[in-house]
Amino acid sequence: MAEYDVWAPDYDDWAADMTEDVPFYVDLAREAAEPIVELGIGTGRIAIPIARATGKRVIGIDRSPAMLAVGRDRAGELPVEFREGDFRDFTLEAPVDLVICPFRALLHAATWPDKRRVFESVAAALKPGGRFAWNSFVFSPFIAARIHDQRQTRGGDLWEVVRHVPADNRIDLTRGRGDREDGMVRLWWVTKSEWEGLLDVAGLEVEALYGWFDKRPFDDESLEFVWVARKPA
Amino acid sequence: MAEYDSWASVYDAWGGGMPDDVAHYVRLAREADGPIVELAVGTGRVAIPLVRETGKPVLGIDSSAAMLDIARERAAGLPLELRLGDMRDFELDEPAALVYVPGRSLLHLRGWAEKRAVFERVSRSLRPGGRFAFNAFAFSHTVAASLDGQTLDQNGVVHTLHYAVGDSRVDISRDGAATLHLWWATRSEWEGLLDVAGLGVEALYGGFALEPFTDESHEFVWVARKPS
Repeated sequence: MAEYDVWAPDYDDWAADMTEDVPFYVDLAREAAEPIVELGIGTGRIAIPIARATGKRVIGIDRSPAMLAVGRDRAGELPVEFREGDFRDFTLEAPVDLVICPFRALLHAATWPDKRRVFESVAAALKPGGRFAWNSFVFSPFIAARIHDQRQTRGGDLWEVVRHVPADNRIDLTRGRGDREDGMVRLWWVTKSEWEGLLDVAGLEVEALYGWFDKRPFDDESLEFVWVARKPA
Repeated sequence: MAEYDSWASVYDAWGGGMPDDVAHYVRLAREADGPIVELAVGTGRVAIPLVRETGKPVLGIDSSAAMLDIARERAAGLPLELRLGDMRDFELDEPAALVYVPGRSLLHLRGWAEKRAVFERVSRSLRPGGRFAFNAFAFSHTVAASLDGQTLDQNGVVHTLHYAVGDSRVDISRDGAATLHLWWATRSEWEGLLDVAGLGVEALYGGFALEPFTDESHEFVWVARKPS
């Protein structure tokens, strides 16, 4: 989608604070047969280290041609295939062992039917016993109240303004660099119960729910959902 | 459930801050052409005026015997049948034209599996074209951030709120009573629950004046329908 294209040049700078997810997803990839599928591959921040560390082929799907172009360039000769597509409606040549969706990318799905389609597409893409792993933040009212409508700077002259629309469980992020505004994208936050519902309708089982990438247990104070689900064997 | 028994005597005072929902459910009851059921009827806050105004019989189900005792005393002489039961697992003798859950009571259900069980049970208990109506607050980060850890006095009922964000849960504690829990739900999750139960959305209002639900709304007022 075009709204993500405008972020492509600076995307890695935005993601610079997030590094702890890489070894988590690399470890899952080590346990799986190739190819690994990544939804919302973006510029390859996760897929490239997976290909480098495991030597396994990665198929990445994303809707932003500009992000994919950056990723393709960075991946060079590594076995990463960047495909333009919609994660609500993707099909693979053959079922796979592992689908991942890192960095809260699932929060770009707006409504229940959108999310349901993603989970059903994932379930259809997995082999029996195959895994689906993703992470998303827990919506914290305390953080939201603190940062709502505040202009925040991150890494040099990058800035963002966060607006919360609780009735639609939505976060509107407007980003820019210096004097330039790069437009807005929207995230829809999801509760634990709704994630459970999406697994339920897709026929996937929870293998683990962690509170962070170090595999600490998820509890009432956790601020990240790190899910590993499995298609019944 | 026993934890609600310890709140029965103060329940109406505590619920005094609820939006004025009675007229909405009365209107739906007038339009119902067949049996009417209220889940989590409690002390009869909605069911009693509804029966009085419409003259129609209502079956009220609740899991707290102490709440039902209060309702029974107040409903004397009215065609309100009160039944001790669990909304996750109830059976009707004949399919209902209207099942309704006022007062945000569905928020007392823990996790997807319990909610799904209720929605499926409701769907099975409705006649084709029958309606399911309920309301719940839309979670507000500003309300949560200002109330967390606070002790509030609502019409003399002193209680303390704690927000457990990982579980999207509010714990409501009061001296001498069991801690009650609420789990907030998003619009998307309510849509999912209607979806799995095979119910269609007839309307989503943003309040009991039947205003449209918008980005600024604070209450989900749902009217769903079983396909005819």
